[in-house]
Amino acid sequence: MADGHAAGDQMTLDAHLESVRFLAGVEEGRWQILHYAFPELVVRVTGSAVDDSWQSTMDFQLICDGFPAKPVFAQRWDTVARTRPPPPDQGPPGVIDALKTWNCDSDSSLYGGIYRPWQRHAAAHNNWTTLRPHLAWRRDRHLTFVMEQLYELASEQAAWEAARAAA
Amino acid sequence: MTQVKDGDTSEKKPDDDGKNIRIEVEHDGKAEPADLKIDRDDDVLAAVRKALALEPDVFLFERDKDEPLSGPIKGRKALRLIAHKSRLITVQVRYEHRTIEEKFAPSRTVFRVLEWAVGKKGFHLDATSAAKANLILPGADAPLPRDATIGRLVPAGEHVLVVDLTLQDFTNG
Repeated sequence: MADGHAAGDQMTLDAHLESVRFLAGVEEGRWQILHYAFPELVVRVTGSAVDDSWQSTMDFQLICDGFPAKPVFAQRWDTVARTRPPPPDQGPPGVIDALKTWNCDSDSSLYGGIYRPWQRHAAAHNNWTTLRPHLAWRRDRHLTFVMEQLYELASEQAAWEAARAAA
Repeated sequence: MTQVKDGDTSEKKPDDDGKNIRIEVEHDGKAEPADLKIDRDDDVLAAVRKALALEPDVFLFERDKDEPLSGPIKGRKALRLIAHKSRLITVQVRYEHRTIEEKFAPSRTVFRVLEWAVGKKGFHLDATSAAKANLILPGADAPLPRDATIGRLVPAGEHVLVVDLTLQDFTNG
């Protein structure tokens, strides 16, 4: 991009993608890159139930312009249709809540993304950045902070599916 | 970084000749892990011990795994390790009038302990309560980060961690 800052955001994201903690997550089978063309990053995240008896996989699109000063925009992603799939109607309450359809405070015509304080549009919602600092994005955080949040969602889904299968 | 399409994550890093394993090691309760680069043909675990001057009774775990590592490390380019003197940590979780406990490797994360605590082997919370649950150190004003390993919370020489399970909505700061 022309403003001279875009190179910096891409360089920072590239460095995070090459970091030990990100690559270890790939090798551990927690996540993988499906597509990367800055600023778009599409990842597949595989969570597991606490006893590793069940796994659940989710794909997400991350938009990373301005990284890390600007929080990542993140949404569930259908890699075939290249669009956001409908929100789930079954699953654990935390996952249903995170993936629900809601619109940005700044533009009520736009989908707001994953409904969690670390996510770009949710950060400003309900003053979450101030009120939930432990979940808010900060520029000194690593991309794996986001990946771990997505891993938690996939793992909560896995635990719920395991319990349903056992019932 | 080489841009990746269609799941190809095998591109070679410009500063990596393929001979090294890059390792982050959490040790001695330090907030920042040590960064190491070790020749994969070496005895990797011995090299980690030497580089960090770890005592012989310190266990090395891979993050979020139960068993301490031993023997050669094969097929890896990146590792996150936790060095800790305890093989297992007894986690006591307090909620309402009950306390339950379970043993976890110090490499397990707060998230995994929380999953156990809210699950059927723990307090067996309903799904709505479980979604709100967090673990918090007694007297603290913010919940524990879920991606933290519990080994970081237990100083060397200790092997018990006491936490409270809370359903508090932290929107009130």
